[in-house]
Amino acid sequence: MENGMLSRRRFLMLAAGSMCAMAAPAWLAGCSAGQNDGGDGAAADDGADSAAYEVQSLTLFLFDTVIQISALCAPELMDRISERCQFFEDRFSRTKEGSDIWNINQAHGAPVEVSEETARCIEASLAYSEASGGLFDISIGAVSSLWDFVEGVKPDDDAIKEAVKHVDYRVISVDGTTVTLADPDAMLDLGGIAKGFITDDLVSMLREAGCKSAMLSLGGNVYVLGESFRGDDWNVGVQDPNGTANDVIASIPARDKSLVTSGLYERSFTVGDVLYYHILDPRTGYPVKTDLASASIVSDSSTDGDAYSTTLFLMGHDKAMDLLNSDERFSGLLVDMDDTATASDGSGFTLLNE
Amino acid sequence: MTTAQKKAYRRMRLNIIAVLVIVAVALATAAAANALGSAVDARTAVIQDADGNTFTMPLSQDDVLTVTSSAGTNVIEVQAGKVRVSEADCPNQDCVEQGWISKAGQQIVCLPHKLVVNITDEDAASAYDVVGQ
Repeated sequence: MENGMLSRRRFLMLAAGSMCAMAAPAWLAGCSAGQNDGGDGAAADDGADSAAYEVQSLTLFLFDTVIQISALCAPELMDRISERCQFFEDRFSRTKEGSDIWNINQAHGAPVEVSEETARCIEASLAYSEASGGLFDISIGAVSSLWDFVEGVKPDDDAIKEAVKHVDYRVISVDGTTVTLADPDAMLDLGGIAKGFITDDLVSMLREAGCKSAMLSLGGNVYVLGESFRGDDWNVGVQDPNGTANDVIASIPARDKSLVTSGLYERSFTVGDVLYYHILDPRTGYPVKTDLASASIVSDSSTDGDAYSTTLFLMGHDKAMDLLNSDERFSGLLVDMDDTATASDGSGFTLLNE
Repeated sequence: MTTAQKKAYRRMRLNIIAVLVIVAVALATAAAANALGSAVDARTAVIQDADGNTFTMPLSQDDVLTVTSSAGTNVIEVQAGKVRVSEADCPNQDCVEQGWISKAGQQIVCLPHKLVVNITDEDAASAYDVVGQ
């Protein structure tokens, strides 16, 4: 009987050894979860194809904002993404001489031949204008070209009154890749949709190349593709639009989702006692008057999200929340001027100020 | 109870006590390692300038860094676990007006100087991957 039993010393060694083995994975897991930026951690439990890749990161200053993209992919794919961004800058820019939009705005009503992408983006814009009864309108160009939110210049009231007469999406027609403005003084500005449209384009590119994990931020418009570099959900925050706290007001776990926010974040200036924010109301030609400090929208399509975030912001809290709760494409978060955050039904947001 | 039985009983009791002690020590060590891990502040401000240079500043240490690129100069200040652009010779001063940030995923941008301040955090559990605005 004595022979069959373990000696005490061996027993204790085995017990100690197994305890260490039990404790070790916890430490190891703690370590590997931290390697979110290095990229080495991500390959550990992934499929064969993405295991070969490291996280590639890209920062570009285009579309009058900063673009940051990180993806688990081949370096060559990031080069193509970068070229694609430049392609859009060269066609969608309102201020760049020779861009599609610049050409349309200089044509004074003559038909203009544009790229297939520009035609598609304008057609999508017209659908959003119809759906929102004109709250979303890319013919805001006549007005937006007057306001300078970088230098802080408020245009003449008379100039605004004159320009706003030429804001009407119904003057825009698209026939194949030919764009015509029936009002020769109308001007286009894709600022309210371009980033969303470009995001969707870049996401398709990444997907088609087999990328299973990526994070895109185009001036605060966010898209998270697949799982995070850690292998779980992406943790996406929403910046508090009310300046003093300057904190994150809510967060949401997400995969394959766009989060677009319209809000009173930056690009404002003061003339006298009046604070002017950069989101213009196509009905008045002046910065928006709303009870919202920001509207965030979660959707599959970033083009949808971009166009509707502006619309929600203009609608104000009650109508915006109705839309978020009734349209199954969307969920979202509204932040009021007093910093109260409200999430739409079943959206999955965690409010952090509670 | 025979002497041999008593001996075996005592040995078993000692073994059980020894195992309990080992379990307790292992758990305490794991807890301590966890506490230590989260107590270490791994947040870092990563600054990219217009010329493609990258600078890092740990948020655990107060510091001031002047970044001069071909586009202009920004002064980055780390204080009490937060970071801001305290001065810049850019026209609109948006980067200065944005104030302090402290959470991973948050960002300060100086568009005229093509400068970005991002916060990264190795302690992923408490960090945002990205913050929308």
